Amino acid sequence: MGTNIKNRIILDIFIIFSIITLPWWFSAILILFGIFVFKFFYEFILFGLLADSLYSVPREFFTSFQFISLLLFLFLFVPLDWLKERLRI
Amino acid sequence: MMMSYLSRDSKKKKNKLFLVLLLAVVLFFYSQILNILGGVFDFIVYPIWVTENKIDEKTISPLGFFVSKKTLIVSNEQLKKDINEAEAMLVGRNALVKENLELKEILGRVSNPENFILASVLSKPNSSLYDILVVDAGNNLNIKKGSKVFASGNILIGEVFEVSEKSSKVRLYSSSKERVGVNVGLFNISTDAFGRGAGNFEIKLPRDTDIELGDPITSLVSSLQIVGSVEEINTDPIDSFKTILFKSPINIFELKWVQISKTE
Repeated sequence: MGTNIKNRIILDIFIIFSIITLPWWFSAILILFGIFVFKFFYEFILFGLLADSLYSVPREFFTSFQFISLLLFLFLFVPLDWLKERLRI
Repeated sequence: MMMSYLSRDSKKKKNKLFLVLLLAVVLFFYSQILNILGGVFDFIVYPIWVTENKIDEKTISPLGFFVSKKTLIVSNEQLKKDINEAEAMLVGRNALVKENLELKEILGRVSNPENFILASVLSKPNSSLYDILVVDAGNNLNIKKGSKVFASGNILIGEVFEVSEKSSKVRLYSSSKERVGVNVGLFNISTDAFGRGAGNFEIKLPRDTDIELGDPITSLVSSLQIVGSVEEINTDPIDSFKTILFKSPINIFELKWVQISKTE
């Protein structure tokens, strides 16, 4: 249990670091990994908030929504969480 | 066993309900949360970006170790050739700029070359889904929302959208579905250029418009503000419009410095 939490914290730090310094798809892959490996990986909400607060501007392409990162991470979380239940991971 | 199954199932439902409620609250107050956290994240993240830039300046790309010597020699020769050609074109361009400024002086319309603030790029377009730049100039350097942003002096790339204490977000004109007014060709045909992402643009003009490959595309404000030059013209016999494709002369993914106009 202790190792699990330690690994989760390390992954969280990596994800925060990747949001700040690396391309967005790298963070998305790490979050996917976190959702798959850990239970109730609700940290994705915080990561979405972080990405949107750093980078969001209203853009016509996104019909001026400014929480695109959060939506992306939510769209990653929901199907993967559903799949995990089916695979009983 | 049945009871433990039921309690596990209800625990999952409680967790899902908690997630849905949390998301609903976050989305409802999203703008306020972003405003509050924006300053905090800027304070923490800004030094990381600055440090990353400094490390980038001082280190060689590790991928360079895997490139063959022959490739490097060929690449070097090609780059030298490109530099010689560019220097030759620059001489002609400088003469034209000088003539342009002299004519403007005669007409009493000289622009002040001191009206730019140099800013370094903290975050490039591929860092997020939003395709923006984050630069290290903000309220501390009197940056205003709407200020035009240039690369290499006169290549117009975007405008400032949001200003924080020490940084600003720059919306790129080449981002998908963004629009910028331009003059096309030697006859200065005014139209809108639409971004296609990654520094690429698209313009639609009537089919019989006189445009050729290499024609300059400049901003509506000044013919010295370059947006690009015509690279491809696509025509379709059944379409009464032709599509002109061009891209920004600089690589926005390798930008290190930009100039921000002090006037909007």
